[in-house]
Amino acid sequence: MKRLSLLTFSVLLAAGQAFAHTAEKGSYKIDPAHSNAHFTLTHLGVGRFTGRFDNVKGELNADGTGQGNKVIAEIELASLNTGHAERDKHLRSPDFFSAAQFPKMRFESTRVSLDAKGEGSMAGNLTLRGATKPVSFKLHHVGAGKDPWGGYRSGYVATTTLKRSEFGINFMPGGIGDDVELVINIESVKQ
Amino acid sequence: MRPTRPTPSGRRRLLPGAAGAAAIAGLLTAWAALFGPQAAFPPAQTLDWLPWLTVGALLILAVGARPAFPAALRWPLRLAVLGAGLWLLTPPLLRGQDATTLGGEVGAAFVLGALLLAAARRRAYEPEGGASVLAALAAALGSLGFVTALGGSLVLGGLTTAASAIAALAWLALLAGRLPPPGAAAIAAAVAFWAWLAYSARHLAEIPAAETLLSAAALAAVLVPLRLGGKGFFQRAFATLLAPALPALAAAAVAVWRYATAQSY
Repeated sequence: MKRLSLLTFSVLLAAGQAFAHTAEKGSYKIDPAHSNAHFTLTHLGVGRFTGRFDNVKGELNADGTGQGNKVIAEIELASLNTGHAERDKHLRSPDFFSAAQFPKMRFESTRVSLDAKGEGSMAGNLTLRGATKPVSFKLHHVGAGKDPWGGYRSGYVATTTLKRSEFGINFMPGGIGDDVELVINIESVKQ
Repeated sequence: MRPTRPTPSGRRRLLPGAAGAAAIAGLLTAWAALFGPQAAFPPAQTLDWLPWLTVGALLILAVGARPAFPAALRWPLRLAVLGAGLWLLTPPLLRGQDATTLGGEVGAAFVLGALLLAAARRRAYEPEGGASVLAALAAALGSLGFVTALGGSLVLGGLTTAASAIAALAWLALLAGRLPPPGAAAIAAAVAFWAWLAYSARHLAEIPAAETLLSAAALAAVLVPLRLGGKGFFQRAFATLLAPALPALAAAAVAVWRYATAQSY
């Protein structure tokens, strides 16, 4: 057991040493098993409430500098998870996401900029519930490097605040806040 | 041979039309109150189409009903309106389903709808049949509205409950002798509206099959034979509502149980 823990630690350490703030040039696929999206909004004006989407897919192209990266990400709304089955059903219903008719939230970048420290921004178009609006994310490049299985990975965190009303999600305007903080954690694998 | 009704005259001839217009106005008002704040124009989600389709269909059908309109084109016009309505109100999720599920759902809906429609139309021509149909519609829509609001979507459940209230008002007005029995076309439209709401509740708001089928059973209770002659208002109200109320209450009870036992994970 002790040997196994040491081996795991060594592998992680070896992989961690390779991480950098510039991803190698090439095309990447988002790894759904290690990517997710969280949203937070106010509830009844007295508290903050967080939920998540477990299924994030897509692809990105890295140009090696971070300036010309392109991202297409799709979040499956059926993967919504707030820890309560009945509430999840309500959020998927026509009152909110209308997930049966609009099963995906899609983001396509138009401009990405990252500095040498891995900080920057990402602008693009977000399509949700049949409406497409321009959205700008704060972007943080977590790192890039070889994984223990011989692949190459690059990870990002994109953060923004949306107004749900702009996407036609107006249910309970007094009880549920209009501003929605959205955090997308992406880990991508080079193809 | 289907029995015929006596032809109404004078003011009573206007009543069915006025009642129909009031029912549609009530529904559209409920839609505006519930969906108005989030409705998109041009329509985005299926439910956004409801008022525009209703008003458009009424205008087109009114033009088609004018004596000057060629008689040979009336049915093609009605079929075109029906086809457009189905296409717009049948959301893309039905188109995206696999063939087995799609065939099963459409087949079950068709058989159930045809049976209910035939039963409801037949009952409407029987003495007190109209009251049975309206009571069954009120109960079926009421239970569907309750389970939808509790377990899926408050706005869709609210619209269904508003439709139930309109059916209940018509039922009480009919029992009080203030409204003639609904015509076959009105019954067909009401049953089709229930079917659309049930379909929307099932697929858009994820209402379980058990509650949906219990709501259908409330509507099917119109088949229970009744003898109401000579009874008073409250006795007739109780008699017409009893059979549909049982499955409707069962649907509500199942929904409450499901809601109460829902677990966090």
